[in-house]
Amino acid sequence: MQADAVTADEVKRPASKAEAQRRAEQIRSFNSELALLEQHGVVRLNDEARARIGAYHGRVLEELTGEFDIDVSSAARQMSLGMRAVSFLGALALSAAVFFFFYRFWGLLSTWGQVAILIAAPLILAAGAEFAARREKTLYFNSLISLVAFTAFVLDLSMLGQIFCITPSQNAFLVWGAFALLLAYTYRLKLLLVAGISCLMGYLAATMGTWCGLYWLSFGERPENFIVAGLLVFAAAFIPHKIQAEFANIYRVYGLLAALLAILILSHWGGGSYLPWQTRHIEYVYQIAGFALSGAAIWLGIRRAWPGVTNLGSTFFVIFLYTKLFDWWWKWMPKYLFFLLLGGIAVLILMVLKRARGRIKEVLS
Amino acid sequence: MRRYGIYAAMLLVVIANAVVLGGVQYNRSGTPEATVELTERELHVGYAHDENSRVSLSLNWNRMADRSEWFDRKRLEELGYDLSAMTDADEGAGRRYRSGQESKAYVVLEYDGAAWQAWLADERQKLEKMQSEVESGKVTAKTLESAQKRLVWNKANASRLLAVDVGRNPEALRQRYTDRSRYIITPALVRLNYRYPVKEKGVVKEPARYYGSISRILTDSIHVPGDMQTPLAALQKRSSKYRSPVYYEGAKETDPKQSRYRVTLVYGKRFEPWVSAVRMEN
Repeated sequence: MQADAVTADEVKRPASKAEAQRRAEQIRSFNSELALLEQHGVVRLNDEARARIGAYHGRVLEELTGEFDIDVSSAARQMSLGMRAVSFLGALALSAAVFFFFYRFWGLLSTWGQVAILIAAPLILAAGAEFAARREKTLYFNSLISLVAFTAFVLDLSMLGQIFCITPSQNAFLVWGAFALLLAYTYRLKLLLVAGISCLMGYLAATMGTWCGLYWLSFGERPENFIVAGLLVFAAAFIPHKIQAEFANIYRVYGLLAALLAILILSHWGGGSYLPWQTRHIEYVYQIAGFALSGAAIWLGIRRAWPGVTNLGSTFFVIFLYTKLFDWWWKWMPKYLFFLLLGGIAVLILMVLKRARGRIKEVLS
Repeated sequence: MRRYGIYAAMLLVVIANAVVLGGVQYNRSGTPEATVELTERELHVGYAHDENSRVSLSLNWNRMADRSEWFDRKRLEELGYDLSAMTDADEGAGRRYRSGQESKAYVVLEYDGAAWQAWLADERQKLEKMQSEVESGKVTAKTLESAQKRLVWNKANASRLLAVDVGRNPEALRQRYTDRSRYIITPALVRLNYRYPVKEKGVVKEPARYYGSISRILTDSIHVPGDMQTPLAALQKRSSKYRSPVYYEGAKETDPKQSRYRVTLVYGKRFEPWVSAVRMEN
């Protein structure tokens, strides 16, 4: 036994709360498994070894709890999930309250009174988020206040636009996205990361639209704008994420989701494309692109052990396949045969995915 | 990151607001680009809403009188639309010209000028023609009566703000339309419209048509500052009491109405408007 030689300090420090939580789960699993092994007489630790391990785990858990405020029991974990949901719903409700409060009373204020409130609100709320972060390690209140600060900043610029009758510009999305990302990286907030990525994707899609001759507000009319924006967001996951490693997965899945959704739309609505071909031909091209990209996502997900990417790729592969089968067979095939074939294909896909699952397990182990 | 992130976020808020307010200051500095006094006919007061205490005016330019004959191939090409490759035999033309259809441009709006007078004269001429058609039995007396009512209503109530030109360069437009109390130059969205050629058994009967149109004025909702809101707030209506600003068949309120207010609208260096004065009519 080398437990004497190992101290909690020497074990690699977790980089995030999620990693610390995983470490605590690992300790809990180890203790459960050890109890089972002892019960079946496979191994029996002497009292000294048991005490050393217990003391070591106690120190580790104490440090992790002190630094990250992790949940050390399954009941506490369930409570945390509930608190996270409440924090999210509270943030949504408070954001709506900020919006409606301003709309309700802004007519009673002078122009410069309106401007002062609009500028001060995101600044005060951002300061409030920092204050909350210093007071609590769990960051539930911080997450709530940060989301309201983001809403206040969106309100700020959009209302200034209305008050001063400013010609709208897509640059607002860039600024909102940057603000959300700064808060997300500062406090490790996934929800604000998603908000920030959404704004940046809007900016990228609108900018691409303007390069292709559209007015920026019309960017939604051409789904191809979102393919480029989605792939750029996906590529951003490859930038090394040393501090917030868990964010890379969100970039990957969200970027890929945007690109695949846009391709799915274009595979049925060729009229929305920039391509100067016949609508039918454009739809064929995007149907092939949809199969290729979702297949590539499954392959990449398995190879790199990214379960989120694999699942997304599989889901879209099935959607592309089913919509294509519907186009081919629905009208001329008896319905029982059509659904029988779908069921058969589902079984086939399950078998393929089962093999893929085995491959992921191998890679992970 | 943990230490500096929040300061960077706060700095971003300050910088973004400074840029926006700097732009507003620049827009309102120096000699105004245009100063026009408009009436209720051209600036509708928005609807009252319990959840929104704002008072705003919407710029109502006369689409009904907009014939857009001036928005021809030359103007479209000046705006950057490439029409050179279009032929009647080109099946894909419609699709190709759809992409990049809507784009930003500057529109010249003329207030109570030659375009409005020309439209009124045109309408009077149509009415005279209709009168002779009633005599010959081609048109019913009821149709004529309705057209007469419409003209009376439009003369008294319709907006006298008409689009007369469009271009990419607002300064060049201002050199052509020098009267700053009559011509507003404002950013707008313009659209290329394409009509497929009419063919019969493969032979082109009517060639393909393409023409420009104005989709919308980009700064058409104008905020009324707090100190000028009070008289206009009293005129705001609930949406349930909505009265269409254009004449329509069967309307209960077809009598001409006196405009209840005059608003001085100023356009700045960035062609963005603001309300500088509100005057109530007695």
